[in-house]
This record gives sequence, structure tokens and C-alpha cells, in this order.
Amino acid sequence: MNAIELAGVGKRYVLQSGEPLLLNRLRRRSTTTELWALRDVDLSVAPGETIGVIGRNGSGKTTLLRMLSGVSAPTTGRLRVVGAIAPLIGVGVGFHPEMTGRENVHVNGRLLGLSAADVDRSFDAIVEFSEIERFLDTPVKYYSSGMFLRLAFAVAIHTRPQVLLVDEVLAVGDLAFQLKCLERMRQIQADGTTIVIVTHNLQMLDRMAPRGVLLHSGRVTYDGPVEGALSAYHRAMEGAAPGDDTTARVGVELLGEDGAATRHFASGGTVHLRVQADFDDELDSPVLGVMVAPLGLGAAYAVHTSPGGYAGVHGPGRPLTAEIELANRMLDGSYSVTVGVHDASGGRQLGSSEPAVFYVSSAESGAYGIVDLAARITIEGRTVTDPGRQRLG
Amino acid sequence: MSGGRTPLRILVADLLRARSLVAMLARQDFAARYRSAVLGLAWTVALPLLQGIVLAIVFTRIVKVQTDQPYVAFVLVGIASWAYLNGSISAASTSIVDGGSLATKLYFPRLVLPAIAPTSNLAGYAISMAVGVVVAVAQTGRVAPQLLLLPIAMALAYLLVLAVSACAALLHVYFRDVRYLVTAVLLVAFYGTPVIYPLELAGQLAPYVLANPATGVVQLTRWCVFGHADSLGVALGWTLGWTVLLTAVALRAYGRHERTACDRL
Repeated sequence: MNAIELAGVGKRYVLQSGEPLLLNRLRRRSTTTELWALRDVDLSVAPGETIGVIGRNGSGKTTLLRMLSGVSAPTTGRLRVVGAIAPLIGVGVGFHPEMTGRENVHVNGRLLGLSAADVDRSFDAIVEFSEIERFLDTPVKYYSSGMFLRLAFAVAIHTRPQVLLVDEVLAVGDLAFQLKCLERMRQIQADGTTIVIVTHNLQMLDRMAPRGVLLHSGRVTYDGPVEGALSAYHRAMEGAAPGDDTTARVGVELLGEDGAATRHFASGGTVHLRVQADFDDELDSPVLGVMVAPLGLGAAYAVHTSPGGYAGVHGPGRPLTAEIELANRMLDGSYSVTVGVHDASGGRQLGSSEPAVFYVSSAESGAYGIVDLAARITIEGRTVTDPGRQRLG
Repeated sequence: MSGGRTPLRILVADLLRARSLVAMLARQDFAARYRSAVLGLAWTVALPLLQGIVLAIVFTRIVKVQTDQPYVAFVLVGIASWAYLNGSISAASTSIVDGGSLATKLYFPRLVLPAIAPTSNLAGYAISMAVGVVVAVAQTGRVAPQLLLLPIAMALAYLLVLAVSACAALLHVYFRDVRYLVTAVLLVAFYGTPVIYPLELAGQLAPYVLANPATGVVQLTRWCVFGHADSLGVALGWTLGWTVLLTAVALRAYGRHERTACDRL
């Protein structure tokens, strides 16, 4: 029997225009519109399986989570969750600022479904995990945000559910604490707990969930290996907005090592771009530029061909094709690549591609950040870490 | 789970299991409310006591009200119940919306939320009632044997408040002006309850006063303290009727709406 089973699940919200007031209802002032947040969702998760759910804002992730946690019932279809569910949703929910850490641990543990005896039994482990022993009897309103989150997370993660729902919470505290949380999650995973992770934190998803589900406008548009989900997600992130006064349209296709189109690349390999540019006007010896940026940040790398480096005449009906290979020294995260076409001097940009977004996975390297600097660490004459040798050769 | 309705049997079972959660949240509510106030718990007693004293002065020195019992004790006993009903219902009727951040993320029986304020206010109720009893004994010089039944009278107040709060809190999710409606109804009900005047002074309005569910509670507590209360049977009948009716309405409404109400938060 599956731990989670959804068959034809849909959720309809009735949105009211105007204030939800008795007066308006009596005067028939308010009109309602319907919104299907989820539609025809079929999903089964086996006991002990970990799945990651991704999707853009408004794709129905939160609704799915609310239904799994039992807060909200589906409008259509059937939904079944077998066993005790603990939601790791919104760390600190139910914490009272006036109460001490100790008191909050008790109340929060109960809210998360532990019995009083369970809380007593796990109390020391929770406190130890949270690293706030000294402030246990201080009202949590005096806690730093890091302390607060650590304690809240510690309580949540010490519930022993059969099904764990995780929402955005692992981005908690400093890096050391995040690693500790990840470690603990792995342990819970190994204990055979079914885990559903809903997050924008793709690094965590890539490291934790072998299976990914992509939601788009309330429907499941991908369900399979997480690499595929990440790839489909990045493809879906691009909006196709046509250029305005540009005279060149540039298309970029991202290819993996095997030559197939993908948006998921392993760190240490090659990112292969196939470029095609179409022109409205005749153009002699264009300059080609390429820029890579971690999503949401500025350029990490940009380069262009030298003016005159390539000589050739293009124009309507005479497109330009190019191949670009990038050595993948990126670490796990989302990146975008943009290819632009400039005139012969390189001074004027005639057009550029939509940013093509992709995901880089470096799960096995153990390093964090944007760029793999392939550190070689030698302690007392012994080389302890040599990722450069191992992976980039 | 499908369709979103919770069968009555499951609703009640969940609710019984949630008793200790209610107790815990009520204790937290109580502690948090008075922890940051210097006088702490004293405020729970001081406020109804102050109200009782002011009313006693007004209605003995300025307007003269004739009562069978000493007026100060009469008012203190009445105001203890009224303050409990009034305070609990006003706090609880917005409880689901106020607890939205919790309610939309975790599932627990939604009836837990409107039960918190009525439960945490029980301590204050007991203390202010005790003050009323002490004053009554001092003024009358005797102890009615019915005093032993006072906890039952207070339990009735608790059940009534739970039923009213549960209905109001769920309605408030769908109609946000319910909080003002509750305030308005409580304002009128204060004068429609024999708190500051004895029931026999109601005259032609007596049937309306008797139909008010708060009247039965106030009369029952007076009967326990003073050994006598007018029209107790009729008043009690109305109170029990209201309590049963509103409890039935609440159970049915929560069974139907508890898994969809939070979509509105």
C-alpha cells in the first residue's frame, strides 16, 4: 500500500471580490470567481520514498502541501495519507514570544502531534540539537532569529512521523546548522520515513530527493527522476518574450554530454550550447558573446569573440550557427546563459537570446558556492582533499 | 479523505483526544497574557471587582435598586459570570482568524481554537466568583448549602460559552463583520441579563430577559450563593435549550466546514 495516494485530486478556491462581510452578502454586493489551484493530480508515493515537488509561485505547491497535511480537503478526487503525518511547515509556527524556550518546546511538540510523554522523552535531544541550552528559560522573544529558528527546527525534526512534509524550512541558521539539518534529514530518510519536500531550494532537492514532481498551473507536468524535473523546471521558467527593436533573434539550445537537450548538468563536465541567429538585415562579420550568471546574481563569466575573429556575411535567409562549449566549473545551483550577437566592431548589440536557465548538480563534490576552485588541502604533508585531481583531471 | 466532510463520530473522537491540547494552549494563553503585566493575575480579579464596586455605588447611592440580597454581593456574583461570558466570547469569536498562521499549516480539530479563551478564563472566573462568595457570606452572615453546586453552575457557563464561541468563530471566518455583531449583541445582552438589577424589576420585558441564555447562568449562580433566585426553572430551561441547540449547530457546521474554512484565511 502506498504511503500517499492522490487520484484525480482537484482543489477549487472560491475568491470573493470585496470584503467578506455579512452586509455585502445580504445586499448581494459580492461576486465570486473560481480558481482551480490544482487539477487532476494523480500521485502515489511508496513508503520510505522521498519526492521533491517543484514549481513556480502559484503552481499549486502550497495547496498540495495543505491537503497532504489535512488542513484543507480536496474539492474533487480522492486523497489518502497512511500513517502519522508531521509537517515541517513554516518553522516556528505556534511559538509564543512571551513563553520560554522550554515551554514552547512542550507546546510545539504537542501541536506537531507528539504526546506529552514523547516530548519529555525527546526533550534533551531537542535541546542538544538546537544548541540553546543556556537560554532555555528565556522567553523566545529575546532570542536571535538564528536561535529561534534552530529551536523551532529542532522540535519539528524530532517528531517521528511516518510521513514528513517539508516546506522551505531547511534554509535555517548558519551553514553549519544547515549541514546538521541535512544530516538529520538523511537519517530520517534512512529510517524509512516517507518524505515530501516542497521547496525552491534546488540544491537540497537535488541532494535529497531521487524523484521530482513538477507542478505547472495546478497540474503535474513531470513526474520522474529529479534531474528531469529540474531540467523541465528550468525550461518552464523562461518566458518567451519577443525582442523589440533588435534585428537579430538568437536561439540557444543546451545539450548534455550525450548530445541530447537538457537543463541539468553535472559539475565537472561540459555545457554545450548550440546557437542559431537569424537576421533581418545584412551583417558582415558579427561578434558573438556569451554570459553565464548564477540566477539572481550578476555575471559570473562573460566572453566574446574578438572583432574580426570571424569573417562571414549573414542576413535574411542566411542564419548563423555556432557551437559553444563551457567547461562546467560551476557548483550546484541554478544558472542562466545568454548569447548575444554584436556588429563587427563589437560595440552594438543586435540581439540576444532569452536567458536559458539550467541547473548544475555537484552533489558528490561536497563543496558549496558558485565556482569549483578545486581546493587541494594538505595537512601535515598529507593531501586530504584533492577534488581537482579527482574530477577535473 | 474526500469531499471534505468530517463524520460526527470522528469529529467528536478527535475533539476528545484534543482535550489536553486545549488545556495546554489555554495555560499558555493565560500565562502569556499576565506574564508581562506587573500585577499579573491580580488584573483578572481587579477588573470585574472594580466594575462591581462602581455598579454597587451607582445603584445604591445614585439610583436605588431594591434587591432581596445585599446589593454589593448581588452585583459581584452577577458580574463574575457576566465578565466571564463577555470576555470569553469576545476573545474566542475571532480565534480561528487570529490563529490563521497556525491553522493553515497544521491540522488539529478546529474546535480547539475557540475553546482556548473560554478555558483559560476559567481561572479568573473562579477567583472573581470566590470574591463574590466571600462578600456574600460576610454581608448575609450565612452560607447556603447549595454553594456546593456552584461548580456545576460555572460548568454550565463554560458549556454555553463554548457553544456560542464555536459558532461565532466559524462564522467570523466567512464574514469578518461578525466580530462587530458579537460586540453589539454582547452590549445589548448585558442589559438584557439580570446582572445589575433583579429579575423581578424586568416587568413586561421579563420574557425577553428569560429567553437570554446568560440569564439562566446568572440566576443559577445566585441560587447557589444566596439560596434563592427568581424564575430559576424557566431561565435554566432557556439556557440549556440554547446550549444544546448551539452545540448541535456547531458540531454540524464544523463537521462540514473544518477542512475548507481555512481556505478563507
